[in-house]
Amino acid sequence: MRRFSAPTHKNLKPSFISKTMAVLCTVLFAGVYSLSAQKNQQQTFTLSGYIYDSENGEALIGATVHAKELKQGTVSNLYGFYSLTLPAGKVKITYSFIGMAPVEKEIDLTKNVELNLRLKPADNSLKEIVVSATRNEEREHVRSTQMSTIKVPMEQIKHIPSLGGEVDVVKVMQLMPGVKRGGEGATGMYVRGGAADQNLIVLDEAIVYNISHLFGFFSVFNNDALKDVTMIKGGFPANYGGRISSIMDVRMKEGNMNKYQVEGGIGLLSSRLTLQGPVIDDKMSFLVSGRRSYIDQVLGASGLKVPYYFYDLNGKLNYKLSDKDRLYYSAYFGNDVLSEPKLEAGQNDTGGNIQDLGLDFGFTLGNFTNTLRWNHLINPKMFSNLSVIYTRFKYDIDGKFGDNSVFIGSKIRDIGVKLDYDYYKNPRNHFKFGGSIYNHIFRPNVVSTQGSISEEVKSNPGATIMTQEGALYAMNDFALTNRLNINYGFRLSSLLTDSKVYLGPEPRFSASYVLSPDNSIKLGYSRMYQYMHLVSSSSVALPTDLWYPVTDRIRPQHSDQVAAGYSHYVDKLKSTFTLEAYYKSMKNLIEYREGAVLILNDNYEDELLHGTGRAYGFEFFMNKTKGRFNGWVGYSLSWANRHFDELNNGNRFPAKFDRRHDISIVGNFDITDRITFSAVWVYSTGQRFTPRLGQFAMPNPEFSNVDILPVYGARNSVELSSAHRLDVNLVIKRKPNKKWEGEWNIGAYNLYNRAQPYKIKVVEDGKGGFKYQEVGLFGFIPSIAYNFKF
Amino acid sequence: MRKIYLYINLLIGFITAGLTSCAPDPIDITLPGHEPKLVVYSQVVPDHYMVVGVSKSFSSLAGHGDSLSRDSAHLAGIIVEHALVTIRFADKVEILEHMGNGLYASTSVHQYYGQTYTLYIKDSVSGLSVTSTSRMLPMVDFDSIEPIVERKPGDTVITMHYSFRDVPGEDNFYMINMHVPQKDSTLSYSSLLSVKRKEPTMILLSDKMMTDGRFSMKQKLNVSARDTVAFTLSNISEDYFKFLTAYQKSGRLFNQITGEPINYPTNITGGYGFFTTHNPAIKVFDLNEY
Repeated sequence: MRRFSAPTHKNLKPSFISKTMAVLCTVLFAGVYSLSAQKNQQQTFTLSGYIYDSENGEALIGATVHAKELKQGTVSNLYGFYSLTLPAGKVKITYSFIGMAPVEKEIDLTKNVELNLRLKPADNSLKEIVVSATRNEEREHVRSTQMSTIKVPMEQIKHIPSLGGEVDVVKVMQLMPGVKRGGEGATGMYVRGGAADQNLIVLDEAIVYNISHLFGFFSVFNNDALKDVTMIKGGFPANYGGRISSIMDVRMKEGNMNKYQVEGGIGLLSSRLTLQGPVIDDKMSFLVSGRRSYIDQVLGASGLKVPYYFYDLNGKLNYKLSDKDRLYYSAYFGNDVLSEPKLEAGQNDTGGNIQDLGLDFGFTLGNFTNTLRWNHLINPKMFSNLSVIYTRFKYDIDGKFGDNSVFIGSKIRDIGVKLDYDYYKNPRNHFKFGGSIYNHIFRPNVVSTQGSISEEVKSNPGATIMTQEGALYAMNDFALTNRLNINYGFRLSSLLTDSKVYLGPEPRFSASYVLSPDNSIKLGYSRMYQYMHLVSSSSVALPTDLWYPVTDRIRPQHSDQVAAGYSHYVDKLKSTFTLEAYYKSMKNLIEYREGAVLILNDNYEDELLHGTGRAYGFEFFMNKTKGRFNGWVGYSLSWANRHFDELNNGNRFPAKFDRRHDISIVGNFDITDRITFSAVWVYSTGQRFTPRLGQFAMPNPEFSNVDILPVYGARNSVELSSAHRLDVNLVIKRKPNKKWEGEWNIGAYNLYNRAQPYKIKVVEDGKGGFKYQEVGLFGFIPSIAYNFKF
Repeated sequence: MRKIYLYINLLIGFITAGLTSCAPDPIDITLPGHEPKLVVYSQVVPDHYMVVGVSKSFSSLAGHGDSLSRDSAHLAGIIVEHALVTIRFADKVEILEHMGNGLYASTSVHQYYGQTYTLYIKDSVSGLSVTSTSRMLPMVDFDSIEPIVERKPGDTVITMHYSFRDVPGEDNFYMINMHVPQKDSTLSYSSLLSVKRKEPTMILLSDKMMTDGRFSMKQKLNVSARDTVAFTLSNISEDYFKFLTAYQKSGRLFNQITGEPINYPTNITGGYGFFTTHNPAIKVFDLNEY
């Protein structure tokens, strides 16, 4: 028997549900009212269709459709669909997209018009038109109610210097203001004072639970298979939910509809290959992309055993069922594999005997995601998408020593259905509504032991915890006047556990007021709920960290965030400036008790504490996406702290990644048509840590020995030294050749070899005493990679 | 072909350079200094005497933690040899006698269950002082305790069977310790590899973990059949239980790997450690006799 409960632990009256449903309806009715109020005195018709890239047939996300004379416009959705309802008559429409030559069409709207368009890559001869199109796009960005959003063109990401020459979209996101890096090289993201588990990362709508390879140094995203990445840090639209700090929406390429294409790269640590092409002309296309690290093979050839590798496989099928229906199937499969071969008895190189210890250790961990989507155009104004999603994340750890063997496993499986509608009633109202339901199955701690260890560590099939997470939402992006645009919406999320129902009412609001075509001020408020927690140590993030669901005792996290910003496009510099301030409060955050036992513990809930957090700060972002010299400058000034009654004597303490200043400067410069130089300089205040300042000696409780026990300072009270480094990359392209495009990437990470401190050691000071020293992980690392396409 | 060789050489060069790339120079950092405080521990020998150990805490820069516990010169430097140590109880104040090695003892501190003992220590050298109080809880003895030694060729199994009853009434906390005063040092290579090599020598439990007010245990011992083992059972305070729980957790491998901070609770005002007056029940067994 389930009982209803608000996430604040107060029991809700049954009328709560009907009230929240009423709010959802109000959101819609408000729009309907506004629509009827505007109901045409003048006849209108709808221009709709899809916008594609002419080169590969890929749908373009966020392409601008602009009727300049009428000062009306829209942008294409995540599937390239657009719809614009305009007064009857002749109208000039400009279609534009970053990197594409804009297309201008004169359309006589005497009836609803369906127009699918293919944009061609920009060409120097069209420079002036491209510039004007860029202005349209940037002005659309200034006008938009969407704030705290990062969208980086994949082409711009491609040449950004990276660790080991492995281009990584997550690392690029970490260069944005408001997104803090975790430890050096790690893929953890800490957005606006949030924790690493508060980011919803979806690949073609499927949740990716583990985004890292090689213990966090690389992300699971193979850049060659990606088409678009958007990150939202605040002012969340109602169609997004599930995590309280950010949403990172990653979309895979659909597969070239026009021709077969092979793309790949050979790097120091891994190589990748992508094949795509049409299956049925203009009807069906496919994409298959694979990546594998080969450090095990390269070093294995020289006799050095590094029994570790990772691999990824991305696949996608895209099928046009009809003009109104389209089907997509996408999948991702990737694993990290460590397999330490058994040490055999024998002799070592120096002739000494090696005793057969019977040691054997290995682990496998990885994600498997599947998404089947059906786009259906109900009418020229209404677009729907139905997604069926299956995700699995699991890890298995195997160990053998002597006659003992241990297996530890953990698994999450999600099966979900998501239905979304886009309703473009008129240029002033764009409604979105829909819902989703996910069944989460957690098996967090499966233990199987054999041999004498089974007396000490009991086999445990692990509890299966099943929860159902649902959400309903409705929102309207509404142009109240020519200057004032508002986006209002409501999301009602819920989670069903064995005996409890949590409901999360999530109001959302954002607005922009256009001061001039190039200037706007924005405001946003959003409440977010999160129904699962990542169970990890605050000092070390391991890939084996456990996702743990909200249960009867573990309450959902939620946040309230207010953000205000100013957006300015400078046509002369072809740059957009954004300044934002935010304040976020977080409740029901999770931390461990001091000394919590995380491994082989079937009762995590006893080790978890609930607390609160707050974060506030300012972010500055200047972005130039066009021109021979492009890039961005990001700066954030921020504060983030936590409060847990049972930690730090109940006093508020700084969050682990409470870094006061964070600066990123990213530049790409096309020296010639064939040579590009890129550089990244990052600076951030040192990360926080709890210092071990003193020690004392005590006999152990059996009085058989003396132990040295630590004395710690206040939690996270000390900052490590600031971290900064310069990374560079030089791209040399082959001479233009129609068949084969190749480029060398020669780069260096941490050019001036500065330590990025991540921990403190006590070392001898050379004078007979000791001193504290901060150590970094990576120094200067050169890299080389060759990318090709034909 | 030449080009291919060039590319291969370049690749190998970069891989080598990448793998042997520079380790960044560490950065010196100054952390807030540690202010030494007095550290206290105590032990009651039932019906005989009360012993208090006094030392001083020291900076993390004193050296590497693991080796410090075996560094007798260092340990000698932190013990407090010139302190006034008094225990006040039942309107009496007893001065504990200095026994050397930072130990102070008295046979005149009478042991009464339910009595509150107030400790005061002042180090005449550093001027540091601390106070603490502890209530003596009644001794709880084993109902039964007996080692079972099954001698088989090549595999002798030793199990300690014991049980005891909870003191009715208030919430109670217990500590069971195993000591091996005389240990056979000829452990075999295979026993070193045994997962049971690190025998738990301390068991902590609260009365909430007991069934019908009784605790029974058959504890397998990883000792030799030639060892002498001692078992003690102590009725301890809740605060001391929390201190010991933190102590137990800090020794776990995971916590040592992650370096998660663990702060030890203390009942010493102005210092560290724990002043406890629990009375252990002690049982000693020469396993040769079983």
